[in-house]
Amino acid sequence: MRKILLLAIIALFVQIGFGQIKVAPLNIKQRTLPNGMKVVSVQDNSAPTVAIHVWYNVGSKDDPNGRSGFAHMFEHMMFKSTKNMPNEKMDRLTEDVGGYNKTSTYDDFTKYYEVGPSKYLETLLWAEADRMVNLNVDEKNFASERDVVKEEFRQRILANPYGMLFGQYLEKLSFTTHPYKRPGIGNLEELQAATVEDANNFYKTYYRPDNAVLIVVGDFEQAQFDAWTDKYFGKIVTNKMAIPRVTEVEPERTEEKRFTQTSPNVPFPAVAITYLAPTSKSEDIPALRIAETILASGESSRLYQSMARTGIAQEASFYTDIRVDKGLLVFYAIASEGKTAEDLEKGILTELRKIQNAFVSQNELVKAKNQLITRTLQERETNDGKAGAIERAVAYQGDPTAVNSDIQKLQNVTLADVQRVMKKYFTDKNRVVIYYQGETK
Amino acid sequence: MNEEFRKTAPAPLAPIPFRIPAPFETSLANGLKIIIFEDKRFPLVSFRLAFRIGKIYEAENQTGLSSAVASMLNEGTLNYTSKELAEKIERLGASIGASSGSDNSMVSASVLSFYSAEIIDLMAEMILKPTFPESELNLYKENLIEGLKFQRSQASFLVDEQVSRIIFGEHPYHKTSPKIKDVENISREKLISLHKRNYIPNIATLIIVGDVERKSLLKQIEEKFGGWQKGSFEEKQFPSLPERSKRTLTIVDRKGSAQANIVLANPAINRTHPDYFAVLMMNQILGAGASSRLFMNLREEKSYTYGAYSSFDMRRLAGAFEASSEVRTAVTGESLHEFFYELDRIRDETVSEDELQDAKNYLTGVFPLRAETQEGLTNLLVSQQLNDLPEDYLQTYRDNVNAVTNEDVNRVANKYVMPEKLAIVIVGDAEEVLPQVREYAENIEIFDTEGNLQDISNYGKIMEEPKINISGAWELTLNFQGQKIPVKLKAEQTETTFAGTLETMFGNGKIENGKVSGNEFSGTAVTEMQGQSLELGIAGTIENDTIEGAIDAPMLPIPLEFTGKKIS
Repeated sequence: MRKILLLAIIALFVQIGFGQIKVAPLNIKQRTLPNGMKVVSVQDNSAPTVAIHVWYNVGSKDDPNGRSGFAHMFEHMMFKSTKNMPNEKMDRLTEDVGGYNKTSTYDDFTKYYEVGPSKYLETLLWAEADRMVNLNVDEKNFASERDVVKEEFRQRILANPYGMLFGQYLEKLSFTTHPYKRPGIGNLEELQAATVEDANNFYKTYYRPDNAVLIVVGDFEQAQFDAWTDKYFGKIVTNKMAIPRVTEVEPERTEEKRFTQTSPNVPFPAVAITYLAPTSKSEDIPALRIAETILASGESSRLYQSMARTGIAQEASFYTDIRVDKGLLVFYAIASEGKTAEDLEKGILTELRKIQNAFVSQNELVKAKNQLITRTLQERETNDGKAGAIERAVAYQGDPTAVNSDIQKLQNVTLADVQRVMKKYFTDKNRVVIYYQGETK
Repeated sequence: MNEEFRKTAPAPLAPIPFRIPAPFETSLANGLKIIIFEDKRFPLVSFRLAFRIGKIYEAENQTGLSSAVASMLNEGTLNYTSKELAEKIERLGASIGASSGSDNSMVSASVLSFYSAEIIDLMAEMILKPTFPESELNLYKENLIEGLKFQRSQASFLVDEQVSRIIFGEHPYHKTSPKIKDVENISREKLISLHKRNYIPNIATLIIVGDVERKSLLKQIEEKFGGWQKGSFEEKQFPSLPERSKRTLTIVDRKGSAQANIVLANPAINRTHPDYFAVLMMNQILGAGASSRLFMNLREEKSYTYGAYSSFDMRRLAGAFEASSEVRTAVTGESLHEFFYELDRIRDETVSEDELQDAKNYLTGVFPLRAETQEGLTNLLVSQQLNDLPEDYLQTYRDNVNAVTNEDVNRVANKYVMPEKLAIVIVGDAEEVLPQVREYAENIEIFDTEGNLQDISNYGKIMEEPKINISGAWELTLNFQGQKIPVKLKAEQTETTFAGTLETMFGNGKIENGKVSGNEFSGTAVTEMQGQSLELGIAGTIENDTIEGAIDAPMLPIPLEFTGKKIS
């Protein structure tokens, strides 16, 4: 009894402490240009650097039929020449001036971003605008970039012993209807089949101002920045063609499905168990994120303690893969020496039942909130981190200012919320179980 | 759409200066050095407690021991169990990690500034009072052994293992990973003794960056670490790196690999060498990034790979130059050709002023980004402290970069990039790789993924120029337990390959993949026997019109020898 009281006091103390840490809201300015392009900016002159993100509302789910992997391959083409820039000019404009640039193609969107000295902001806005409107796709560039993407596939999927599981089978076997069932990296056959014409159509269809959001965070003067966006982006004429959108809805699952897959060079068996997640705007997301942290973040987490520390698994985890449409909730584990896929499945399902059958402790709830708030703060240290957080708010919640209420939503999650969502989305009838092991010789 | 203003890039604004102020420095009576950098931008703090001692101080039969000590620091202390420690740290939303590198060992932590006092307590507990419980050690060893097996499935590990062995030789920098027997030898007593010897304040530096109040922080550090007893530490002398007199080729045979991992390496400089900045610049131009020559050539022009890079591994006592790429197997030879072209070019031609200026812009420009976060700034301070760099290193970094000339770049390229003495290491399917690359070195060795040396003649045969022509029909006599069995071979040779048929009393087999090398030939005939497909291996030599060799089949205990002659 005394011990319980003591724990309660500690929990209270920690919670008070938690309450004192504030994540300052981002001072977000929003504009919509006459051509429909949205501009989001946060001025911060504390260091002479700036982050520029251009977000396009097109992702792997929009890959044309028979062209799995296309959105990602097209992302590579955006570094090729435009009417006014030679190939890879974007690399020159960032690396050669002391910055860097990156891009990623997600299932739901594609992001292009640059980080660098703020004195180059105008130059980078000019360049981003030019590749939005003046890209050249020629046969030679297309063929050579296709080979590069095929090497990316070999490096990420084939060279990695668990690449096929996480990069191919997980999505192929978890979705039946929604285009999410086609992995974003594609496959070698469909990449090979893609043509320059496909690229030009894709560019015309999706790369336009009313399908993009510009997000800039860092060192600039607002009036000057607004004038630059008017000049370089505001004058781009958008085409009026309707943008095709994914309409397929992944049906709810009604029975368990089981698969066994093999690959060469897999040293230990692995298991993935997937469930369908709610869509990104669901009110249940914060509680799922808390559950994710309790189950799988750090050495004190439940899965680590019950599976890794007991010698069943080398690694055991759970993650929420939240997407605009229904995404995935994924448990996975890689076996310890001598353990089987069956052992892993049993261990995972035991933990799942535990979190469904009883409240997590108050202590675990506070711990999860502290971990998430610390991570948020660390992300907000950089201009790029802030811009990325805004970008996720745009992509998943349709509102950049949602970035300022995320923390409060996490803080509002209760013990009962965690139990409720774990019961709601995880049943014996809606899971897909994938066993993955080495090819027997 | 191409208005005038789109045709040329706007010019940048005037540069803005960036300075890192000097941090506060002090030390305790026991020798613990303390560096504090107050940064109030965010309510976060980063900690490093770094010891100037690492894996190279392990005895040769104790490989892995310093990593074991570091990893076990949070697995049980005088006051807390492993689980309690994890619970306490994570409840604060914090993280604490410990690791041991070749030159240093380090405990790192980051936390909300509100909890910095708690984290210092926990760090002190881990560093001063670990108990290394037997049960936790056993779990650590089991997991590590599994990890060692796992890493052998990864090409990147296999390539590093060979590069370190070849470049560092007897110098303990060759250590990449313990062997299973090393792990089995780790005992609680050995951990306790190494901890006592190495975790001493007089070789340690505590670096703190973030939102802290210096005065109260120092008071707490004195309370927690003031009573920590000094120890003795003596710098050791280590063997020098092996002299390289010529190029070598090492292949790790990872059968079925979709790609070849290529690394080209030679010994270079340590971290405090006066050529550091010139080397940094040269490497930036040659292969550090996506604007560098190797990437532009192998990826952007040739599409051989997703990326190609070069780097200098510069440690406290020695270092190495490395160029690397993962390429599709079929272009391994062409990729080496391009690597050598670029390595020769950076040595033979002076780099242009533009290239030099771009590299300077990059290195001076990303420097503020590296210092943007508290963790980033902490890492810069750690590197300065542990590598004995000058006090004003961070403040003068950008000036030092700007002072490098293209003559410097040319000079260090000729000094530290040695195409004629490179160690070429390739992890991939040896059968496919070897013929493409064997011309690059006279000394060739092949290992399997477990690190066992292989008989190169098993791989080498396929590349010799054929000295024979197997085309035609041959009558062979098989010796089967004293019985003579007739077999007919018909073949059609094209350069180094041949196709044909093998007619036996069991049935006829078709040969599609025959190979000819020197005066030897080999191939596989697929035949049908009682409804099952059966593979017959045939190999032998030819001299004028006579043939001899052996035929092998899965059900035979030893291959059946044959002799024969050409009949048409």
